[in-house]
Amino acid sequence: MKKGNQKPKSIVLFVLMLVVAAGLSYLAYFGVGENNLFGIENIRLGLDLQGGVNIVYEAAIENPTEEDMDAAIQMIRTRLDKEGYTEADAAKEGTNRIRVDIPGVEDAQAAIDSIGAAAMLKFFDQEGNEILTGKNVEKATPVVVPNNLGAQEPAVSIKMDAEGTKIFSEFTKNNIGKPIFIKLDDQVISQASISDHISNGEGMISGSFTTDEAKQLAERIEAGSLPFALNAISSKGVGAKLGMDALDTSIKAGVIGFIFILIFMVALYRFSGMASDIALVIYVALLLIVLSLTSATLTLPGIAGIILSIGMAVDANVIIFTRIKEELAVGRSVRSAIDAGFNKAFSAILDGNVTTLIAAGVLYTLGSGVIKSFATTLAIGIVVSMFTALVVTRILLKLLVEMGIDKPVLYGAKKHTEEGRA
Amino acid sequence: MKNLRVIENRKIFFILSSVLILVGLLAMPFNAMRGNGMLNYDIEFKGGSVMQIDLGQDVNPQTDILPIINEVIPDASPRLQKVTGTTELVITMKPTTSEQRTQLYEALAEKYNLTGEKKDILSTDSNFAPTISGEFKMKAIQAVLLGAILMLIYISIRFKDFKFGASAVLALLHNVLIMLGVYALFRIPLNNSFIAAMLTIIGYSINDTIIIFDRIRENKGRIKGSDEEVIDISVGQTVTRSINTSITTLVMVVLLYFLGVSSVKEFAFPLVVGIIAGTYSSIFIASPLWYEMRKFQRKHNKNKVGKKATAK
Repeated sequence: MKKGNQKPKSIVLFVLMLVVAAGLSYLAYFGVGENNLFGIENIRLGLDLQGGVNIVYEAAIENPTEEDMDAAIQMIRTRLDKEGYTEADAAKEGTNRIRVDIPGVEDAQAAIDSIGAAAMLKFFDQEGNEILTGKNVEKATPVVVPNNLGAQEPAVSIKMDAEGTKIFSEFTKNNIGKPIFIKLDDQVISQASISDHISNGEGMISGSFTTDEAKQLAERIEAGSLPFALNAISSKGVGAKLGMDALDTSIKAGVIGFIFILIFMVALYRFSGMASDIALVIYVALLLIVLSLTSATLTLPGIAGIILSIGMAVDANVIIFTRIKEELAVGRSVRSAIDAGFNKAFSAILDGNVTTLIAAGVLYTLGSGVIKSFATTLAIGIVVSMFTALVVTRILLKLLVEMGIDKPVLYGAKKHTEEGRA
Repeated sequence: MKNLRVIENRKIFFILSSVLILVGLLAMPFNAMRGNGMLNYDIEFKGGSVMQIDLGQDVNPQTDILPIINEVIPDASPRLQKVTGTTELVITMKPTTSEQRTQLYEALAEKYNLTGEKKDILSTDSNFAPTISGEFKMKAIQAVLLGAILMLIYISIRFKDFKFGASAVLALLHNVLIMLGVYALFRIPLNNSFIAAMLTIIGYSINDTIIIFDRIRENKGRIKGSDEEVIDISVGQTVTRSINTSITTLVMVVLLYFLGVSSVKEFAFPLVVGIIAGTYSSIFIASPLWYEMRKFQRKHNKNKVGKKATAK
């Protein structure tokens, strides 16, 4: 054996692993650059941790069309912007629900009141006289039409109902060349000038739209003429202070538990335990980095999930070390015991983790909001922990052996190996 | 090797488990008889409103607060609960509108001279319509069933033996029932985190069972012996690992329970029980179930062969 050559090299590599562990921890804690890329700063906290309001709206009719739901979401977004809730988010849930998350609001009740009411869409003339309202609009759709130069460009087509057609025809006949304003909740969403007498109730707003802008405007106009009401079926407001307490105490529990596990593993498995401790530090750092990168939202159950996953992450190592101990007990050298231990433990670890992944998958598919975030955290935790337990720990153990630390006792073997295989 | 006589004593474990499950499940009709409802459904499940408010001073909920609520929101049928060690009060009521809750907040703010920022004083303000309650129950049942079926399929394929899958899933249902019993006995509110807690324990306990079954699978080919011997040896070889892993996981959850805020406590406590039940069932229930299934199958096969023989 070229032990002489191997030893310095493996010491260097081992130190390198320590540096990697420290570096990843540093990265996870502080991040890189101004935006703290990779850092915990970028992990989005759920409403239950930073405080905020979550409201679920349901369409008051059985089967709303997809276009109407998109229009309703657009309406809510417009209002959220108007109220200054810039971090707020509205998303469709199922076929007839809209989930609205508004982080860090001062007054939860005011937020619910301000976005709950039905939208008001109105058409005004130059002098501010009301011409039409949203109830006269039958449909607004984004279209593509040829412009004066013959090129294709996005536009929005509006179809009025019978009453609207009559009023609109009258108005356009007398006001050619004058502007018309469209307001949603007192906010001007479009301004156009009348180029023709429109008698058939089918107006066309064109101009320098991008496709997305045309779509957004159509949805906003539709929002003002929604054929259904939105009912807030659930609302949940958590104060910032309660959220902060929940976060702080959970982190405290996590840190104490983490330190306990580090000590526990070394006490039980000596050098193997030390290797798994380094792997565990890398695990926690990687988990935080992945959470930071995927912009997953971390909720209270999510944190509980992480803390639980730290407890379970050592499981793979415990299985492997138990195997290594057994292999040492039948008289193998440390080097071959490590290989055999990893190989024999693999099937159990794989099957165990896949079944837990199944549980996470089911949670993700059936759950909503908070539960989805818990499932995501759990799944990321399982995948990352398999990597650190199987790959990182193995590299570390091999390096330890090559560094000359190869007495079976140091890896948890009993001094007298009289215990044979049963 | 440590010799755990798991198979020899299996009847004891079966009886113990049955008693535990029965006690938990019987708590449900008992609760119902006392007029509390079988399980303590949180407002997410049954619909209703919750306000958690810091009044800044110690009050008597029944004489000081109740009249105010009854005046502002008649028929709210409020339940009041003080948060121990604080001046906070949790008000649980029937579903209300946000205007009603605003009025109530203002009435309380006036009476108790609450001048701080509303976001610090009103720490929870939630309302759930009763319409979504049926949906939550359905989802919880769906999640457990779907999870169990998928795991049954996966284990049966990986272990090339349906009996492994079936006994692992039965042990898992055993844990689900014990957890449900804990929720009934200790009146823990059932809410969104209930489903998460259940599936976490399902994941944890099935993982635990698989480690032992993996040993049995391995030893079955190597050791010439009866099922009974193979199982006892396999359990003996894995028991240290089972205990060590449950210690590391338990420490985490117990810390969460002792240090966490009330919503964390409600999540952590069932997990503590679930982890203990999961470890117990993977050692003392899962393998004996597999043993019984093997025995049953052998007997069944013998009978078939016997019948064929007599038919000739």
